Amino acid sequence: MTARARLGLAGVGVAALLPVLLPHPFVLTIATQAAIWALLAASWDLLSGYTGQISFGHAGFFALGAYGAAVSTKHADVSPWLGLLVGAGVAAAVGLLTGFPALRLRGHYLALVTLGLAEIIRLVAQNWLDLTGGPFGIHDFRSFPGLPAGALVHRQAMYVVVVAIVVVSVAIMYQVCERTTAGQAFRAIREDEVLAQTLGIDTTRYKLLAFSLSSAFAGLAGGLYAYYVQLVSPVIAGAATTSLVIGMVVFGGLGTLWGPVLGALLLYGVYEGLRFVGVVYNLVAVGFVIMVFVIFVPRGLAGLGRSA
Amino acid sequence: MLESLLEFLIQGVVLGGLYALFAVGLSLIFGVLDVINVAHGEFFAVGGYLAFAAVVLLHLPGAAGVLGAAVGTFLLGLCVYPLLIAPLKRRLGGRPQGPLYLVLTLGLSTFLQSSLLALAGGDYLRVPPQVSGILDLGVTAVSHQRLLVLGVAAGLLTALFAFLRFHPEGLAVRAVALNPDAAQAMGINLPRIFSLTLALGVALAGVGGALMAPLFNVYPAVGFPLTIKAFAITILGGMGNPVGALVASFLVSIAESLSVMVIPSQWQSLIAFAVMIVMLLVRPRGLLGRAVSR
Amino acid sequence: MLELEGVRSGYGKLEIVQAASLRVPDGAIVGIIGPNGAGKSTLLKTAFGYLPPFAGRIALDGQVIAGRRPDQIMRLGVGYLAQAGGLFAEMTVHDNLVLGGYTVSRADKRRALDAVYARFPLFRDRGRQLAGALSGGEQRLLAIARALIVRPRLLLLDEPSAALAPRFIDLIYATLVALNRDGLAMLIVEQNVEAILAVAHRVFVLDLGRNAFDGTPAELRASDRIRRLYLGEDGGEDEPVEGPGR
Repeated sequence: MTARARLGLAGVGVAALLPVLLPHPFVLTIATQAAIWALLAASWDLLSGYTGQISFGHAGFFALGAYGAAVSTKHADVSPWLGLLVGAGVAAAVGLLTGFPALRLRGHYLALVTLGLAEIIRLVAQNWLDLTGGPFGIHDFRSFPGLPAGALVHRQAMYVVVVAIVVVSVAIMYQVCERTTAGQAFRAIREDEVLAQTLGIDTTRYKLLAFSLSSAFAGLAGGLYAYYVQLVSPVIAGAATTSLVIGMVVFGGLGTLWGPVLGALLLYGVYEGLRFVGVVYNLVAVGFVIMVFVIFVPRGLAGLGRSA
Repeated sequence: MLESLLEFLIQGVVLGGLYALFAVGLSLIFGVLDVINVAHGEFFAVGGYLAFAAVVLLHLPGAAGVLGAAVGTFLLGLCVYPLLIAPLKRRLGGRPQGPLYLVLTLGLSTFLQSSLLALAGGDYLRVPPQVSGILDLGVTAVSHQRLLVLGVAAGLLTALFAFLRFHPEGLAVRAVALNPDAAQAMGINLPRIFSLTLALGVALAGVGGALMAPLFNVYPAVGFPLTIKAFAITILGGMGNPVGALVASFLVSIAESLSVMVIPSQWQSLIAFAVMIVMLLVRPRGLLGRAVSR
Repeated sequence: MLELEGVRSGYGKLEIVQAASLRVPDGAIVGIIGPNGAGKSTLLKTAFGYLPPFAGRIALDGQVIAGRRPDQIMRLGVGYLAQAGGLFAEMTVHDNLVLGGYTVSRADKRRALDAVYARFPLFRDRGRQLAGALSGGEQRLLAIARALIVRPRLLLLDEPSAALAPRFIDLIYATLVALNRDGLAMLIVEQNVEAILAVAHRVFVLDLGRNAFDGTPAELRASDRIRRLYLGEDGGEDEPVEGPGR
């Protein structure tokens, strides 16, 4: 791991401890949600940054995870711990299916297919009243059992649970991307898919793997979101989610995994912080960040200081 | 049954005018600049806001609102290429990196939409129709406002296609879309054509926004659903082919309209996306597009 | 007329032309030959502004043109013929020619087109045909015809004989020689060594991005070393030159 990565992780570690040391409810709320976004951002990076399959539809997988978890707990009384797996599983299944057309599409076309898919998911969520509660969503489902009851302590426990799951997930993704042949294959596919094929890499298998893993973790993030916020509505499958995720990754640095995590924490912090200034400005900043970073800082924070 | 069919057919055609204004501009921008403008819908919204400002705030007649929207979005559009796309192009050095431009325009979309929210608030603003009254066709009734949209769309698009076909600058635009290197060797100034095309494309959306403001109301996110639908339409017609976009606009609008006979109306939009996904899997170049090398 | 001194250029970080210099005197035909990958086409593209030079001097009639866009250089009287795909294949022959006159005023356009049709009568009746439907040789001629509409003083040609039947190669080069007699200077990158040696006043040999030799065709043929390395054993074949063994 590079020195820069170590520094980044140290920063993340400090940030992670903060809410435990300064248990202010607002800080805990932001920190918990930031952690969830970090997981979502990392999952996007696995697919789009590492494997080069740029997806504009991760909001869809996030929503599938959230709805999968919420619906299973509400309608089938599934324990939230399992609900997380249900959500991740649904997202992974759809992700795998999406991987198939992706095998033949590149660049803009893949991005548009995934965008269309997310829109379809959003439309279904909005209109399938019986299952998804329609535009108002689902809100009456229980969250993780077995956590301490007091208001503040409960938040802290939630925070610890979420962060633990996020850390483990990101660690798994990191292992896969940096330490296994799969990760090497991902990068080979990103650099030059045709070359990868001639080198004997089964690009089909690895692309499908990337799609499944990425959507599974996005779905897991969705499930965590569902049980934390306890309200799931079609909005989460919309453009703001996709924008935020892409903004976080571009800000943090495509293809590094830890960059997007850092980018997510910082950008979410800024996003929520700006909410104090006035709700309306926070997305403006996100949009601005995306544009500026794509043009001028292509490697994001992870690349700062590194010679081009 | 036949009456219903006719009724929905007519409604579909009328809706097609709006889709065409939107999708043709989007397709033209892609054809010439090779960039998918995710922020297209925001220019639609800006057009609506300009119409609101002209008519409700400045008490100017409706036509001034439409004209103001056209000019305003055109000028705003002129800024996009030099400020955003050209710098990215310089950094990428001409290597094709389509998705990055998509990310850039996504950023622009977010920026514009939330800027509108910040500047004008999220309220749905009401704009009076430029024309009032209803045309009774027997099988169905169509408001004059909707007919105005169709009429203006027909007029503007005819002018656009005539420009592309007959005017030397229009020929230059087509040349750049076909072969930018050769176009430069002919003395064509690429940055100028890029800026002009982008501005023209978004101005069409802006006019659409001004004309639809009375029907949709004006709010920051009003254009986004249209953008996504327009992606589907342009892919169906062939990305980069304005004629294809025109044809596909009507195909989709009529299909959507007729579909109400068999599926509940809130699922209408699914048709466009389903069509897009099928197209991308089966024939990515669309109905009229050139073969895609991906 | 055209001067390149110590030019370095390439794509992105990849440097292909390391240090190339050449001169095209007024009214001369100058050839550039060399092995594949030597940077010949890259150098030509750099001269016309498609690629920005990393270093070096590029001047036209003493005026520095390095860093200018192709459309700006074109307006100084320079034409460029790409190796392949230089035409607008999906447009008609007529539209291609009209585009050639993009920078010409409305009044002069008709006259310029007529002059070109006079020189290339075969296109007069083919106006409505799609440029892409023409044969390889006809497309090459169309490209030349189109470039002539603005009456350039210098033409840059990238392998004008590539993928053409010998009959067409002769025709193209005969046309070029005739145009040169009228005063048109040319800088021609060629793989077909015989064709260019037959018409050029001076030839530059580029290898691995650098100048390897330059001289008149006679001087090139006289040098055993050059003959062996770049012209094939006897220097008398119509085939693309193979580079020195690497």
